[in-house]
Order: sequence, then structure tokens, then C-alpha cells
Amino acid sequence: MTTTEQRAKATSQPLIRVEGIHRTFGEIPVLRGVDLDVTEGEVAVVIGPSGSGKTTLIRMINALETIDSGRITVDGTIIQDATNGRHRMNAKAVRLARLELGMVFQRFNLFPHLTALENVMMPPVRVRKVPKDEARERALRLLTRMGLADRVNNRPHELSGGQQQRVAIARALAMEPKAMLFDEATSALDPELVGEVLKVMRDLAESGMTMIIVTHEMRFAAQVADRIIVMDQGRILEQGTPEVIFNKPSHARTEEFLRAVISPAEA
Amino acid sequence: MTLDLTKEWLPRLLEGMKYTVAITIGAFILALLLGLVIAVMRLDRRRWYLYVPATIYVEVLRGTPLILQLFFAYFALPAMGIQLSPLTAAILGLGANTSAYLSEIFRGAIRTVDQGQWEASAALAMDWPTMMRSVILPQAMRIALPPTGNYAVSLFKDSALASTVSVAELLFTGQVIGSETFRYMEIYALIGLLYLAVSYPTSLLLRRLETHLELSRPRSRKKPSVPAPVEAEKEPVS
Repeated sequence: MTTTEQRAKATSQPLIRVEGIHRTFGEIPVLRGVDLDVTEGEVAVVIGPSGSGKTTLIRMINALETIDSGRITVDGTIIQDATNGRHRMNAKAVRLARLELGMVFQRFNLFPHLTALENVMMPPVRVRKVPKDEARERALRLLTRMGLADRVNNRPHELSGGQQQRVAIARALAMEPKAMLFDEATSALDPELVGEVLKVMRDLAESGMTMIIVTHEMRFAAQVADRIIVMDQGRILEQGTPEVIFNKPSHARTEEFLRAVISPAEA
Repeated sequence: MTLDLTKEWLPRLLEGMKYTVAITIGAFILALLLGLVIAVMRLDRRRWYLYVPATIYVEVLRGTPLILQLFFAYFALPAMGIQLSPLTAAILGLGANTSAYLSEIFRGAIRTVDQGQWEASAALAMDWPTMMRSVILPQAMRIALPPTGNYAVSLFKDSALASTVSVAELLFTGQVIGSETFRYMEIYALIGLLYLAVSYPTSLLLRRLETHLELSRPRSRKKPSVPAPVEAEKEPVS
């Protein structure tokens, strides 16, 4: 596969294209035929019960997880292809795609040996070869935007979960990605710290960032999503605007799931 | 006795101690470098062309007597046209032997680094060398430091084996003095004290360093199960 082939790219193409993905872990089918296009500037929120395959799907987009069949294209570059039985993953294409995709993890995964500032500075310097002064300036700007101007010299273990996750978001943004992937970014947080992270994510969505968000925060989903994608048992059950999904879902299972997760106070 | 000790023995023994220290430092540096390379070669079994030779290296060096390895370096290599000085042979033999053990420590330490660290680095588009240098090894080094220090002390004591390949280090010098004076009791006791004078303070120092590292280690190292830790409410620890 050559780069020219991979870069056969039309202007109207979605930024992220997921086609016919299947994946089995051992005997258990986790994804059973998923198609998903995300266009530039779109905020796509993936919801669904535990074990529906949301996390696996989002991790496949930046090749942290491999696929059994199907194809994943990011910004016109095929990064994983298993359309004809053989799985192919081009290391160079994967790296290119990862440069365009910022990822935020449930467990933050900050580098514990570095300060908040160094966490945000180091990847651009080491990976994108950004000059140190410029990277420091950018990191300080981002950390300030995250409300962490006074914590830049703290190590991760000196920060609360909410602060750590905001540093992690700044770290991903410092690479200047075209899209951001959020894998249950608030699930590991104490309830009172969820809000501060959601606020940062909401601001980011409003700034026009392309985002794929896996979350259990339904109210937040309704507020920020251009499109809600409901997953169940390894498939996309249905998708649509928040109004449609939350008010008149077309599947009984969606209704069931929403009833189970939305408390009366939230609705 | 006092006269002999200070006037004659001690200067000669200290001269021997110089070699002991030189062997220890030389072999240890060699062991660190080789150990790291071997550890990295053994990280991924799928890269068998690295894994297999590195594994053979480790198993041979761990499975044969150290003294045999020293004899091999000094007496057997000349048969292959490689003539080493006693000092070089001792450093090579002890260094290679220690590297086999250190590589296992390093490999274990690298594996202890949280899976999330590998994933975060990968997601940030780091290539493998950058990931190793900037993320994994700095964390693994902390974990590996205490056991590595213990091997340094062991190596210091094992350097006495260099006397068997006629390096004039501490024990060898003592044997020479012993054979001249036949006062083995005093001389060996003195040598023991000299070894102890170096190894005991070093051990103490290492233990303190270990405690220090333990305290400053981030708390979130252990992987919690799904509903994540309640570390947020606690006061920041510095």
C-alpha cells in the first residue's frame, strides 16, 4: 500500500470514517458491524450500556485496538484495513493519524515523573519537534485555559482527579490535533469533580473542535452533541440529534437504556 | 603487629583496594549498559531475532559458575586469539555476569510501568525510542534502583574472584602478604574489615535512598478496578 493510494482524498470526505468493523475478544463478539462517519467540526457522542463496545470502538480509531474486519480511515489515510480477511496496519499511517487525534483516557494516564507543565510540553517537543520556548508558551496558555495556571509545577499525584484530567486534555490539545477522542473522561472522577472537566469539554466543543465522546453523562451529551450515537451489543442501535434520541427514540432498547440512566432530577 | 599493619600492610592493601574499586566500577558500568540492551531485547517475544539471542545470553551467564566465566575470559579466550589483561578479563567476566541479572531487574521494572503509560505515549504519536526514553525508562529506573544498588554491593564483594585471574586487588594482595608473613588470621580479618568499610555504608545509603523513592512515588501506580480511586478528596501530598 502506498501513501498516494492512502491519500486519495476528496474534499467532502469525513475526517474519521469507520466501515464495517467487527471485533471479537476470544469468544466474545465486542463489535458486530459498525459504520460511522464523523465530519470536521462535528461533536459525536456515543452512549450505550456497559459492554456495548463504545470504548473498543473509540480505541480502534487511533489504533490502540486492532480490528478483525472492516476499515478505519482518518483524514483520508487508511490506518487499519481488514476488508479482505488480512489485517493490515501501516505504522507510518498510524503515527500520522495519531498526530491528528488527541485522546483523553478514563484514567488520565499523565506521566507521573513530570510536572503538569512538562506533561503538556514534552510531547510537542519530542514528537512534533516544536522549539522548547514555543512549547512552553503553548503549554502555559493551555493550562491557563484549563484553569490550572497555579498548578503548572505540580506533579500529577499532587493534583485532584479533575485537575489531572484537565492536564490530560491540555496535553492532548498541545499536539494541535484535528479531532479529540474522549474515552469516558469523567467516569473515574468523584461526582463533585465531574463538572469542571465537562465544562472544559463543553468549551472545546463550542470552539469548533471535532470530537468523539464516549460518556455516561446524559445531560452533558444532550447539551454538546450534534449527533448522539446509541450503541448496544456491538452495534449502532440508532443515531440522531439529541432532540430525537432523547425525546422520541425509535428503539425500545434505547428508551429502556435512557430510562435506566437518566434520574428524574436530570430529566 | 601494629607497626606492620600501618607501615607495611595497609599501604599495600589500599593499593589492592584501588583495583577492587576499579573492577567494581568498570564491571558495573558495563553491566548497566549490557543489562539495559538485553532487557529491551527481551521485551517482546514476537521479535524473536532479538529475544532468542538475548535469552540465551542470560541463561548461559546465570546457569554457569561466575568463576568459570572468569577463567573463560582470561584463560580460554587467548586460545581464540583474544589476549586480555587480567584487569580487562575480570571487568569483562564480572560485568557480563552481572548484566544478566540486571537485565532481569530492568525487564521486570519496565513491565511494571502502567499499561496506561504505553497507551498514552502511543496515542501521542510517539515512536518507540521516544516512548522508551521519555516515558517508560524514567519510570522504570525508579523501580529498578533499589535492587540495582544491591547488585552493585554484591559485585563489589564478588570482585574478590578477580584474584583467581591474578589481578592484584584486595584479596590477592592479602594472600601475597599472608604467604610472606604467615599471619593469615590478622591479614584476612583486616581484609574483611576493609570490604565491610565500603559495603556497609553503601548499603545504608541505598536503604535511605530506597525509602526516599518510596515516599515520592506517585500513589496511583496500582491499577484500581473500575470505579476509580477516591484520591481526589485527599489533600495534595508533596
